[in-house]
Amino acid sequence: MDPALWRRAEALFGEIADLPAERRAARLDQACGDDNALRDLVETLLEGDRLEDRVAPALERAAADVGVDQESVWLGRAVGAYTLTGKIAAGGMGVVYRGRRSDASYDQEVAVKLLTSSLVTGELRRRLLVERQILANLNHPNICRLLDGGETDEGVPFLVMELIEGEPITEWCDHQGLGVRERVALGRQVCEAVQFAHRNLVVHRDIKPGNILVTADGVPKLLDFGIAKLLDPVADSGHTTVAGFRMLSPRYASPEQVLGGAVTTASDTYSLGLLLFEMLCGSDPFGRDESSATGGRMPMPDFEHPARPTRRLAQRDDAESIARRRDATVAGLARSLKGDLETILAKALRNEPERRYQTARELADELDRYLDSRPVLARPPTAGYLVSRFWRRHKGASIAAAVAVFAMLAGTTAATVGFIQARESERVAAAEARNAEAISGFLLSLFEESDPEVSVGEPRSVRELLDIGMERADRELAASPLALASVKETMSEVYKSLSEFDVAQRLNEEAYALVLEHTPDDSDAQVRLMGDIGDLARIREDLTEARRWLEQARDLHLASGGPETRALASVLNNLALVLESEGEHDAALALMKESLAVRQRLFVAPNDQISVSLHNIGWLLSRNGDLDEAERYLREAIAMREAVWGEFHPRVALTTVILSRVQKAKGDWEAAERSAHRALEINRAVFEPGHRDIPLALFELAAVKEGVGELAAANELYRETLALDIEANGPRSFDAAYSMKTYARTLVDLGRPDEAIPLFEEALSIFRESGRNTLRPAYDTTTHLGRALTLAGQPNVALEYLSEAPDESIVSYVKGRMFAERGLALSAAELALGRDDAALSYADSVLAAEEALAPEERNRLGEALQARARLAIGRGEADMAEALLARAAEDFATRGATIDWRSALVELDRSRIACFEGDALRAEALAGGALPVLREAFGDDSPRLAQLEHCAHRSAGR
Amino acid sequence: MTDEDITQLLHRWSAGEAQALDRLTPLVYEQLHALARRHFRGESAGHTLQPTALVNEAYQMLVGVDVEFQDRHHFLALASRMMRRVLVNHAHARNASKRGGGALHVTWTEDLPSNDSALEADILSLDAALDELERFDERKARALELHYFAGMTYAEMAEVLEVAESTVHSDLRISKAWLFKRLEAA
Repeated sequence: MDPALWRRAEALFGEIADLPAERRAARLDQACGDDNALRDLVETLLEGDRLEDRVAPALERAAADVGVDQESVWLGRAVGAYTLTGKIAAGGMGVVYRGRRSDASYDQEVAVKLLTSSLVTGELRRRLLVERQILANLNHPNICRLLDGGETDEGVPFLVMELIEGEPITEWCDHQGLGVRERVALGRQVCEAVQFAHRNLVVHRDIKPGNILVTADGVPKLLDFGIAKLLDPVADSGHTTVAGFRMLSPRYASPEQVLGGAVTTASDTYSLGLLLFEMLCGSDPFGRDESSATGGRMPMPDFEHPARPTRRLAQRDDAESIARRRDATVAGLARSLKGDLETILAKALRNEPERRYQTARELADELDRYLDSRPVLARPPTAGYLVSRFWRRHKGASIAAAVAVFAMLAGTTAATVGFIQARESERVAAAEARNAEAISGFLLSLFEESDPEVSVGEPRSVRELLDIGMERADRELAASPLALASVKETMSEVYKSLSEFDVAQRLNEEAYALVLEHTPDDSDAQVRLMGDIGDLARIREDLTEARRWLEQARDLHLASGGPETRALASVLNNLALVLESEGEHDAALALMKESLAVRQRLFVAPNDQISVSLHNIGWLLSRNGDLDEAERYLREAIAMREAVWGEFHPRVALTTVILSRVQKAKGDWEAAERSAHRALEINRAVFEPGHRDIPLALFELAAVKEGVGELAAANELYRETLALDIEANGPRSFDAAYSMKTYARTLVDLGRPDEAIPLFEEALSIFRESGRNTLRPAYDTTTHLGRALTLAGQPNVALEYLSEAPDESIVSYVKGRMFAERGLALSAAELALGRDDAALSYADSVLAAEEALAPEERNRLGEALQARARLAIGRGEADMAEALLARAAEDFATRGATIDWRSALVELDRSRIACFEGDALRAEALAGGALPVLREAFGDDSPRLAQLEHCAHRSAGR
Repeated sequence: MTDEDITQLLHRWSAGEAQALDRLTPLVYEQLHALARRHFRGESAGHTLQPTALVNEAYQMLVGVDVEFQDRHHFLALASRMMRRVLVNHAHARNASKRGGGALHVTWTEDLPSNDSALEADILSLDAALDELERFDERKARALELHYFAGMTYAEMAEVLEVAESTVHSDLRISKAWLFKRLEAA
């Protein structure tokens, strides 16, 4: 800069900077004349004068960054439930550490990201909380899970993520020497994951090789979904930015991200295009790979003109080694890139968002077509144009709402395109193309509702937008029935995810009616919709209705003779669940196996859908007592789920819970306890405290303890389960009532009926109030309430409860355990009232019923024999009693409890008989053997133990 | 080094003793660096981490309040320069570690390596721009430094730069306009 020029510019700038525009221009002309250097400088200064100050915020970030690198401060420290064990990497947003759960006995390694605190102030901090919830629910095999988050004691925010050990996707492809087709297939998988996130209202915003790691098993995992948005201070503000002062990886960003436009799902698609471009030809379409290698600041790319991959390849000096890493010659690689792939990449990399693939799904489908050697689509922009226009108008609209509607838009457009392809008549096709526009126009108009300038008050929530959308869909899309059907189907899905099953079902039925009327020959759409309706009915426990729809869906598919579909597999799966609920076990199992076979033909293992079928088959087998076979399926399901999602995933925990039940049923207590522990650890690791799956696993652990005979320990665990159920599901939830009932039952066993009674009563009132089918648990609760009342000295009240006739609809179920327990409770109540004959008659009928069952179904035989024996003792029939007790002990012994307190109680009964017979020594010996076992099972402070000890000593002492 | 020593050094420097500055500089630099680190650990009360706040905090810690205005202004002027150096050195250090860090096999690729490049680039290009400005208009470069790194008031700057307050206003306005355009082009 020439100091003289600068001084003249300074004087002129000072003079005219605050003049009105016209006078300023005039004065500028006058003062500069032909002096272009002066004019340019002053004009530049006037422009600069209007720019926003981005220096101060950048300095703030830089100052914060000085502290970030200090790993020594953090290593070995606890952050939330994790201890930091090593530093992994540092970046502009913070530092990533390797962490390990501090309170767990197993090794769960995670990645803990500490965020530079100055970035996360006030509003951002609040958003971080909200968004964390959304991200935590992003469960997809190819997406790195966000496990936890919070703030350290000092207020430094952190995020805990699944630790992925892998290589950036581009490097992995090179090291593996993958060919072009294999790379396309891998890229396609990434598109699927991105699409999944888009449907879940999350835009990645920062897709690049470093954020996509491929594990040793070849599974790509996307990192940091939505994180960029959380931390990009300009993401929501709609400001255009001064270049160089925003947080973004410009190398893989879309033009609108670089130039300050609205970020949409199409921005992710653009980044996917850049990623694919690099995976395929080892280069960047704008040559930025070379300029960054030389360390220079990257020039602004010419977004209008991305190079073709073959051209970039030809420009590279290292073309040969690039080709070699793709298992090809340069000429061969160029040949594979030409044509379809070039067309696809060109469309993905269009400068204008509306001219690109609108969704990752479209891109994935296009890649599919390439892999199947079908012609790729080149669809003219329709909906996208409207979208971009909207974005230009409403940069400040609520992002969540915007993304939600975007995801819907993406879904419906794709669905409509599907409809179009299914049509043969050109006339209909043209009409449907208009539908696509009608849908987008309609959904976009919903944005108006979220635009603060249009609707007064708070920005609307997604839920409100949906409700408004529903009302308006009928009104405004009446002329485009298939568009209306698409909107309804998509909205139904969203409502289902919000647990609004009634609304979801109604929307699906309406969509189905429309499809049936307007495209009666499109059987795939009908099968899909009928299947969804049936599944919703199943969820709402309307089994008859569910069965009707699902059977119709299956029959329609069979009649159509079309190829097997994903929807068909779901229909079979859900129909099997319905049949099982209706007691048709064998048919259910056969169908479930059919569903598995379909999925095995459609998908490549390991696959989440296949693992669902394996899990369900294992579960069905376990219900029918086919335990070895059940265990085999469940173990396979667990292995597959671990391969798909990793060891720490709720789905793995769920299958492990079922496995624990099977092992328990087999009497393999150790394995059952291990599994229950494992499930509990996983759920505690992946869920926030208070999540309903934690008590689910804890209940299982308690059940194992009960089975082993550690009654006091089981009781304590049930108590804990109950507390967690109340926290997670509410004090009057079904789950809470169920735990309440079970906890109370063990209280009775421990000799504390007074405490159990109010709990049973509460559980019973919840069961009766709940809309669900609770006849069986209610019946069971009544039985145990009666038993408790008798023990508490109120046999009259007990009889009132116990004599209630069971509802007709459950009589068929009321056999086996429930029938036996009710009979024994009645017998005990009658006995307490001194009505020995009635007591005897109940006990006899229970015993007879148990003996009539097949040996493996007699699960209360020991209790029946013991009850009958006690009546015999009372009647002085010592020999008979001894014989009955011997059989009872035999039955209890087969149950495999480690602490067999039931057999110990039998020993006490025998001690009583010995006492009656005057054999004090034998009585004492028997009691002496039994009491330590009972002490171990019931705990030292059990009232029942005290009672029993008292009786035993009395018998022995006489 | 006690507070009193620092105060004396400051005083001697204000009085024109160049050696006092040599001894003072590393002290101020270290103090600022330590404060920035402490801030990240959340050990101080403030929630944001403005360099200007750091400079003032350093002043409180090193000097205390019981000094003449003259000395305070000199301290802030010195500290603003040191703050700038802390940030620039840090950016350089990170650039260096990145170049040498390629050998480690990646288990978790941190997002945005180019993000932090941007961060460093921000600081380094700001530094370069201030140097450039200094070559043709030293006083304005100084004004920007005092403004951004020490958060001085216009009155304080007027005193340090020995000009009228209105001059500080116009100096800052035109130099910011120049700087923003300069950074935009960087």
